[in-house]
Amino acid sequence: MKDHLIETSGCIKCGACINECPVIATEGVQRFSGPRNLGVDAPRFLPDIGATVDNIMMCTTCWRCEEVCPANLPVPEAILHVRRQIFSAPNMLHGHRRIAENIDKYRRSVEPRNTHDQVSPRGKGEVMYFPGCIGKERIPSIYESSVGVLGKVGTDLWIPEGWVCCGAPLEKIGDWDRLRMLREENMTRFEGRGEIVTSCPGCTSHLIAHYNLEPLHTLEFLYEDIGMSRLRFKPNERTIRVALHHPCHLVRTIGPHVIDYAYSILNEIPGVKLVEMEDPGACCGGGGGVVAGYPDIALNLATEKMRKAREVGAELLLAPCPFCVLNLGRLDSLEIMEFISFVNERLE
Amino acid sequence: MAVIGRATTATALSTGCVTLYRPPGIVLSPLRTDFEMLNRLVSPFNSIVGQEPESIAGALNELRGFLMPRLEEQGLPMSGDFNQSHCLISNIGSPYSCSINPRYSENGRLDLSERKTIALLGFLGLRGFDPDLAASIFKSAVGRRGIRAYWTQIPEIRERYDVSPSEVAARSDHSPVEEHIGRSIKELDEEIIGIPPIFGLSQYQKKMGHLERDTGKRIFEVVTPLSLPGHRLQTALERVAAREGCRLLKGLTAIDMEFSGNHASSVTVRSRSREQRITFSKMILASGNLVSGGLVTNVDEPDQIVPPLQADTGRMPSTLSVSDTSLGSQALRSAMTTGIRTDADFHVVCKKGEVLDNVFVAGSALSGFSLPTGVGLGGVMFTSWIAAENAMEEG
Repeated sequence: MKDHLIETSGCIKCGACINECPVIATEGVQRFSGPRNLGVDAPRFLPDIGATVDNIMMCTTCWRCEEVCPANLPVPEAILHVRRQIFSAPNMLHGHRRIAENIDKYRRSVEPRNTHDQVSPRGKGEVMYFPGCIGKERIPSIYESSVGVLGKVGTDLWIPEGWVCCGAPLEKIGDWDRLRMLREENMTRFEGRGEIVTSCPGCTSHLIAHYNLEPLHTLEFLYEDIGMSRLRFKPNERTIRVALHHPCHLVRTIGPHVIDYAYSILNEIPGVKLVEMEDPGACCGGGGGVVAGYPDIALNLATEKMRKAREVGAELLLAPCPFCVLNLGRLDSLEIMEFISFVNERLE
Repeated sequence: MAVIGRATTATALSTGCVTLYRPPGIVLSPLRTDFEMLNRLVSPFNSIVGQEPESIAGALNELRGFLMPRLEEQGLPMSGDFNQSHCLISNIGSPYSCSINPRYSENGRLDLSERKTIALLGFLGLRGFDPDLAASIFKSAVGRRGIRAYWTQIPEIRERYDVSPSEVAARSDHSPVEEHIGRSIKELDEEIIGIPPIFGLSQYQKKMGHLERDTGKRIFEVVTPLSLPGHRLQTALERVAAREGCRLLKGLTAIDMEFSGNHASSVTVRSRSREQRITFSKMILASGNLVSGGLVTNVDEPDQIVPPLQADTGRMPSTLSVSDTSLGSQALRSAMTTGIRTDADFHVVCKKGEVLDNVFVAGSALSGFSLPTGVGLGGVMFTSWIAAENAMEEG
């Protein structure tokens, strides 16, 4: 608590975070009071902040406020810190309670649809692949495609048997007791891990921040470790207009270089006509536990994202993040696909 | 070439005007440059001060000639006249915009000499603009009485767009908002109506034009700091930069620089989770923000400066003197004067005194060029222009 009080004490009240907040933009300040109020002002009045539990859970943790803050304040971290401080099981939102129940029951943040791994681990290889709950249980094509692509480029891959949720959704809802438990379970299963690759920006940044590991997102692994020369694509059948969504946790918590890698790969795929939508880094609403807590807000943000993609004539919207694909996929106004799944389709 | 930066820039938080004014009362012929003013602004930069007046006037004109057509191409037509007797460089801001500061109003849509009746219309819930406050500032700044302030409640803004003018802009195809504004304006008796800026770069001209046509009144935006026009200018500049082949690497912080002798080879940048090394042949450090020239300050001196570089707090903003007590606190004084030390040709100076021949500093990263000085973005852009010219010319 003390750290955040110090770190957020340099607010110059410029309003940049309020102006950029996607939730305020779609819902209005009457419903969501915004990053400055919740991240900067709220920690100072913690005893009274229990009343704002509904409000503070609307933040999608898109990190836009920190990106634009002239005073360089860690506003999203402060918001997560407040969530942790005010967390109490009886006050959990319905959707968040479901996450906690799933964790207790299945050790995954969502109810498993595939009881067994479709791709069997090949034993302990050089690279450990961490599938993540959404890519494995909600959109299994992400899991299959990631394993497929990594296999095609000759990666000696293994998947830790009995892996559990990394804990990122629990951090977002403030449930640190369960988060610690999952971390301990995973760490024993990660023994002999070697290099770690994940499909999910949320898992990647969580493993960095809370496990003290150095995982790579699949895009980083393909571009940095494998290299573009080893990605051989099929000749195109027809040209398709593709827009690329920049997931918040990919560009703002891992780094903007990763999206450059995505563009470099897309430029090499025959038949891909890239179209640039307005503000491709705008939040789609998929993060921060908002899909579970406030599905209407997540849907409003997703609708806006899809509108922007359609406006530039995109036929397909790609997102290198399972959470974004899950949320955007709730709308059927445009085809949405996870980035590596598209690469897998086009790879020879 | 690449621009690396994080956070909201000074430009985005500005009034969107690129101006560099000489003090009032000095009348010079169009091609003469006011050296007294310029010296105060750019001293001790040899590469500007050492030049002939025509050469400097030429550089100012070049900058304006570069900037204005490109901004117009991006949908941001700028008004202003370089040859006005009182201005060294100006784009004043876009045609519908007027600052509450009368210095920036004269070339905009608000010609106070016309003696037409003026009203300011605020939208309840849109906290960025308070017409009562703006009217009283007009009154004290230009001695103009009788500017009426009104409020209107527009349901769409009240319910959906509260506080965030940029999002109103993004959704400005939402015609009920326009219709409500139009109806409210029609109810007013005054001839000229000031409203808060709510339309974004892509819609701005068209929407303001529609409002004027539908209401039969002259409409202007009352530009205040931290409002949408700065965002428009920033967006347009970023698009111009990208179009000119410049890569924008946003969301990165420079944390270290590798150099040997007087030549730097690479810079290390950091995102939240990764560090990256970027090699370069030349680099211009020009990122700025609201205060302190893109640097974070503690009370006495800059904080978080790229380690090998030397801080500079020696220059006061040109419109203020070092002894100016209106600055109030040491912290504010420090923030306003903080920058990165350079030599007279904008080369960066390291802590041990090395002058790097391929790293330049420009704009609000220079000491004394922070936004709150009230001199507009003219100095920031002019020093950036000259520093970039130096960078291109030197090898």
